[in-house]
Amino acid sequence: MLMSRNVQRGFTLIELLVAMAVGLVVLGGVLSVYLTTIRTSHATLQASRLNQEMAAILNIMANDIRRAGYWGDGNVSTPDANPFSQVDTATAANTTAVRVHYTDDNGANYTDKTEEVIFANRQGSCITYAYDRNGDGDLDDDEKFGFRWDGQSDDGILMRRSAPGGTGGTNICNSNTDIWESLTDTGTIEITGTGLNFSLEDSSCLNTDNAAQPDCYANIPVAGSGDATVESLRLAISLNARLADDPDVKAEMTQTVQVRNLLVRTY
Amino acid sequence: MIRIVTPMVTGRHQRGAATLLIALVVLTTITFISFYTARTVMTEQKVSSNVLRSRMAFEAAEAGAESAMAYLGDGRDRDGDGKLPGVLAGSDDDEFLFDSDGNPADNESNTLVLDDGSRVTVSLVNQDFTTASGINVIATEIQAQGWSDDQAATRTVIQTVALVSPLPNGPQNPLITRGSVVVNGASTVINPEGNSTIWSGDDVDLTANNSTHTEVANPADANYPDCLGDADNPCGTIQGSDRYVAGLDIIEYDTSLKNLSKAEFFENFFGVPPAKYRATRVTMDIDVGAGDDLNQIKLATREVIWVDGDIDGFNGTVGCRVAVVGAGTCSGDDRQPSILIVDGDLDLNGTPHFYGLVYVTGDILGSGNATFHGSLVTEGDATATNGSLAIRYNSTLLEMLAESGGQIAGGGGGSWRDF
Repeated sequence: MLMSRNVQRGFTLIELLVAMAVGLVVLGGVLSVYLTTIRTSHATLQASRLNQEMAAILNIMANDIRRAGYWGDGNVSTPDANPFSQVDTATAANTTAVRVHYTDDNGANYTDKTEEVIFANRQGSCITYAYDRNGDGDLDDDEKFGFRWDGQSDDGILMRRSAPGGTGGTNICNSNTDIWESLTDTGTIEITGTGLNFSLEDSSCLNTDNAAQPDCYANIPVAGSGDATVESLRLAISLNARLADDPDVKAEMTQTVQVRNLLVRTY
Repeated sequence: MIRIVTPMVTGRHQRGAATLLIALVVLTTITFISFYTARTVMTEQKVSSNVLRSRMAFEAAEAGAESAMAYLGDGRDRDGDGKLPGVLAGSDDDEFLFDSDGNPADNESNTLVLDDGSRVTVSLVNQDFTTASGINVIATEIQAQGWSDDQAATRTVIQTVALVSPLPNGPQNPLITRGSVVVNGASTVINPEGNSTIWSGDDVDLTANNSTHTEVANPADANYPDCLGDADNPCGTIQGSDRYVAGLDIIEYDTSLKNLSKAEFFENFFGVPPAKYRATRVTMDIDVGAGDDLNQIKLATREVIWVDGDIDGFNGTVGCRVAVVGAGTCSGDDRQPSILIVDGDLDLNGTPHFYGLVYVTGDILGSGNATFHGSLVTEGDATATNGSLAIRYNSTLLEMLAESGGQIAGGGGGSWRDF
């Protein structure tokens, strides 16, 4: 008797409602945890992807620029004859030393200001330099390097592999004959905002022949004076980028690199 | 009793199964996503730690190169066996670059272990050359290989540095004076490597004392003339001059010395004017007038010392690691010659010993029994009133000076590479 009565009784409406309500609350909780996990995990992955890309780009640039000015013939007694570390004030494009090219007041990119003797105190999004990759002592076309970003978010960072045509007129950023390759994949990251910026502001210059005015950035030696100067170039690279498929993921990174080969000049 | 329970249990069980199932599915998905994220993050961590290790190895290599440069400043071939310290074939196996046991007296290792666990091994390669204008340049290639703390990453930095010699044109005589030489005490001037002893722009007077004499290389020596200019296997000597006989070994009244200005005389040996030399090449600058303690120069090794003012009554050893007393000598690796420039008079008392070059802008006076190994040069007079001078020329010591108090030049003017 007891048995059959029990079987037929079933759940009351209240019981069912309570059970369903509890079930829904539990399910909702679980779902929200699930969604939060997915969202966080997605954000973490995106941020880490961007971080990784940017760190890799900065590393490549810093490691390469650090070598600027290496000369296989490196005759330590005549460092001012280093063909990989020349500054040509008359024809700026002949300059092989580390050089930051910048956007001028009119918005034109990479203007060469020949009257500028000292290349520090400049910021720009293009840099050119050279080093003796094959160690033969001669400046070859494929030993003129550079990095640049042209200022639009659909422009990637370009890396110069070669600058044919001797020294004349090649050390500029917008030459059609130079061979530039993409360093970044525009489908992965976009350079935005202030983008890529090089600055030599922290460099220092020592005039070895003028004890009274040793800072040759503050007191530019007179051409023909015979003064020898030694420049220690310190380059700050800053990079501002976002993910192409998720523009909300942005980051800015800065790296400073000390160019190890000193720039020696005789005026 | 069993039947009573079963339907209830079954009913509850089935309803719970749906929740459980959903919960399980959701949890499994979350777990997988978490795993995926964790794996990606871990990969990123690995990449970053690889970058970090690579950077660590690089910094270690740089630290090694810098330390080697500091070492080079005090002379690179310190035991003078012609081989440089390092780990390369042909390099020295009993001379080392770095101090590993914290005792600065000697070095034991070519490997430097840094605080963060990374380490660097350094080799030196001789790159000496002669410029088109005939100047010998002492150049050394530093090869520094750095490892990260776990030895997984390694980077190599190679750089050539040149040493600027503090004595570009070393003297060829034991005693050179622009002024006169008057010796009252018992003095000996010995040049076992050549045939000249005293070179003076004025009078040389050795007549005051019976014992005063000069000695030059003996042509009858079995090794003559190979022993000339060889300080390690010097010739036997014979007397050149004494109080009665002025031999050919003494050059006096040489107008080519007398007519030089003091600055020109200085520049003849040191290559640059005195003021510039003091500003750029000197490693120990002692201003006696300003109260600097002259005893600092005792046991000074591999230094370029400038003393502003007179040295009066100095009684110590310069240019040797151990103090030499009485008639003793400094030998072997203990000989670490210095350049001592006295901008004033050198007044000798007691028994000082000098190894290297002593250059005096004033006069040499005093009554002490001073011993000079290397060379003694003065712009003024050498008048040892009552004291005695013992001067023995040594070309090896003078050559070692080229690497003393070294100034590094060209350390990075185009020679640095890491590939």
